[in-house]
Amino acid sequence: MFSNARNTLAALSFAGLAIALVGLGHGGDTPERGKHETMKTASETRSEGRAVADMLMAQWKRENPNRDWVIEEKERHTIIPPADNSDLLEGEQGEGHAYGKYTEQDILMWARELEKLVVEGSRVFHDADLLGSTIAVSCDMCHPDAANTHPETYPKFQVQMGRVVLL
Amino acid sequence: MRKKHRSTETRYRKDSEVLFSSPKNFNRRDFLKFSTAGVAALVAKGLLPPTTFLPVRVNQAEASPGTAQSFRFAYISDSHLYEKDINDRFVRSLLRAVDDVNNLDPQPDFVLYGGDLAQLGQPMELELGAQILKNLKAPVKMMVGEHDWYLDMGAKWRELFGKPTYSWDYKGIHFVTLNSVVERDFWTKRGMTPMERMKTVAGLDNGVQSPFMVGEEQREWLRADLATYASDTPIIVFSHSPLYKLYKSWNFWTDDAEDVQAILNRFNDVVVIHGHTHQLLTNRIGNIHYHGMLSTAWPWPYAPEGMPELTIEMNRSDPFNPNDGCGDGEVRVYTDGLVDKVYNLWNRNPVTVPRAYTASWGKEGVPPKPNLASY
Repeated sequence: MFSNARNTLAALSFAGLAIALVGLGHGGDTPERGKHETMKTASETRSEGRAVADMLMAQWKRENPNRDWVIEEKERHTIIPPADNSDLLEGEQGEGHAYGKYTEQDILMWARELEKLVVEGSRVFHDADLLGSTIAVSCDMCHPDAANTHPETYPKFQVQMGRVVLL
Repeated sequence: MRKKHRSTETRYRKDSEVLFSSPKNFNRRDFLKFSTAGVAALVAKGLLPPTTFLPVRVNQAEASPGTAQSFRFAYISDSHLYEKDINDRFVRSLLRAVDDVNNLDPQPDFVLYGGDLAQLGQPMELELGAQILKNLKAPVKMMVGEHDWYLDMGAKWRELFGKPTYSWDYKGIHFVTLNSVVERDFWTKRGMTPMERMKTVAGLDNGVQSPFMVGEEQREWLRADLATYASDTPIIVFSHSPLYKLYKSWNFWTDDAEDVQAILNRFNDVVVIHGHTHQLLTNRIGNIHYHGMLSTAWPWPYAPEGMPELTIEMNRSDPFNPNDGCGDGEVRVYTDGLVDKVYNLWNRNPVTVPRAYTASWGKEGVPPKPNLASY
């Protein structure tokens, strides 16, 4: 959901930018513009276009403070990159599995989506509000870099609780 | 008439009865005076045979020079307080530690607070902490931690507690308290708000922040502060981060540790008591003996690499008991400045790292090892 919202916003912004640039590009052909600004140089047009583009981008950034959430989270915390599955593209494919041949796009899409999932997990792990903690405590406060988490299998009898725990 | 024979036991009982029957309502001081001077007088007058009831003068175990215990102080550290209505568990833990220290009899000479009183450096958090610590009977020596500092760069903390860097002399020991959580400016270039800066520093595994350091300004102050002290002066340093390099990723680290150690190297023995690591932690580098402090809020795991050989790790704390691995403690100081370090673990038996352990490089006085594995 988050990803879709971001993509929509990005698409709208770029559409706006494109309209603005197209508008500028054709501005000299309009009768109004032709009367007063008949001789714009290419560099002037380009700089004006950049100014509009910068303005639009700045506006979009203001409205989307978490726009660089993946980059920022990767800067803050150690994220293990997805495994390289490019060897799936080599050799015989299509025999013995349901989805036919893997393509390069499949590999890239898998890596990108997995990384986004892991980065979002890291954000939740480090943020008491995203986690929904009622006492402002986040996971990393006791488990930096997910240390000492002791993954265990359930259901089992939990001695400390005196009963079988499903989890 | 022939004198009736009395056994030694009978004579002992009779003599002690005579000795203690008449003087009633003695206080302790009068009793001691009576039991020594009075008995001596009775013996001198021949009223009390020297072979029966005599107070025995016990020879004090003669301590070798420098190893007699001089005094002790208590410590509380790393309480990470939120406002009460957000999280009252950490508040209750600090109250428990204050009770622990107030129940010590005799009272410690002073109490060290080891830093990170607040979680996000907010005025309400620091004021709450200050209010709770006022209940301590013994005088309090405050040290600053990174959680207290990076919202307003220490403004509120200084208003409440004064300078973070100071020294004093007490019973032959020179004490120094440092602010070892100075970070290089990582926030201006990124355009961070004060709260973003605070939250970045508050995250132990947040790689955006810079390593802790004491910094040139404080190192210069330390040089000047120690200049007039002879090299046989016992020195005890309080710093929030360990004044050595243990594990950089979690800032169990002081970036200019070697420079600080170089200033301390000319002294025979130096003890550093530090917070931040929330665990049993012992180290020795040359003449410097390091001891960690427990947190009242939560225990950290041990660093995955770089652990000092002298550290006997406590086993994993029980996640179902919020107090396990937490606690407070005390420090018994000897005349040579070395210490017994007591970890008063709330859910376990207390652990003492005796003076002899670091003094002998781990050969003597080895603290008990837990039966279970560490992390």
